[in-house]
Amino acid sequence: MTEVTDQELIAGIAAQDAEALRALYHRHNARVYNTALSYLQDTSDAEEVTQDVFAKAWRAAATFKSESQVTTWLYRITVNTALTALDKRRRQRGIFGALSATRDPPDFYHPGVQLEERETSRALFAAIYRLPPRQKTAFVLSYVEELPRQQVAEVMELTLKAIEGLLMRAKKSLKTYLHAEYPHRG
Amino acid sequence: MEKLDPDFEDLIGRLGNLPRARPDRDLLPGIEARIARPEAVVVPLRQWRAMVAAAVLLLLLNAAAITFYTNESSGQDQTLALVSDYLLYE
Repeated sequence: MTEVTDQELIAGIAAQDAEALRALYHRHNARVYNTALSYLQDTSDAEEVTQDVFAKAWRAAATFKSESQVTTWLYRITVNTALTALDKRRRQRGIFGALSATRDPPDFYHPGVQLEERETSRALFAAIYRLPPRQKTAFVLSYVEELPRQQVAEVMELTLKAIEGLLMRAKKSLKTYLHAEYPHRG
Repeated sequence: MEKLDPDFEDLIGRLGNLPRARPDRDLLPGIEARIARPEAVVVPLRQWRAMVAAAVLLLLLNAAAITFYTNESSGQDQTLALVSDYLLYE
C-alpha cells in the first residue's frame, strides 16, 4: 500500500477531513515544535505555537499552492506564528520589558542536550534568541533544522544570496555574543 | 560561504545533531478544540487607533460646531434686543 503524500493530506484537510489533520500532525509535529522551541525557548509557549500552527493549517489548507512543498509551507506558518508570539511576549512585558526582552533571553536548556554540553548549549541558544528576526530565521532553519539553503530561501521568500548574507551576519553576531559571555574561550 | 573559525563552526554544526524534543503532552485535543471554535476576527491595533482618532475628531468638530452656534445665536439675541429697543412701533 502506498503512503498518503503530504499534498493528499492537505487536500483532505481542505475538505475538512479531521483524520487528514491528525495524520499531518503525527508526521510533522516534531519539526513544528522544535522550530517553535528554538524561537521561544520555552516548552509551554512552543506547545501553544504548535497548536496554533496546525489550527492555521486547517483554516488555510484550501489556499495551499500545490507547486510548493508542504514542509516549506508549514515552516513558513511556524516561523510567522513564533515571531508573532515573541512580539506578544515583548508587548506583555511593557516598555521596559520590551527593551530588556532581547537582551535577557530565557534561561533555556534544550531538552535534547547531554549534561556535559548543557552550559555551552544554553549560551548558544541565548545568543540565538538575541538575533534579529530574519537572521534568527535563516540560522534556525539552516543550522538547527538543517534545511537546504534553497528551502530556507523558499520559506523566507528571499533569494539564495540574501540567505547567505543573513547567515554570515547571524554567525558574526553569535560569535560576538558568545565571546562576550565566554571571553576566555577565544 | 566564508568560515569564521573551526571551533565556532564545529559548535554550530553540532546544533543539527540535537535529538528532537517532544512536547510534554498530546497537543492534538488542543488543536481540535481550536479548529472547532469559530475564528475570532482580529482587528489590528493600527485600525483601532484610526477608529479612535476618527471618533475624537468627530467629537471635537461637534464641540466646535456647538460652541460656534451658541456664540452666534447669543450674538444674534443681543442684536435683536438692541434693535427691538429702538423700534418705535412694536
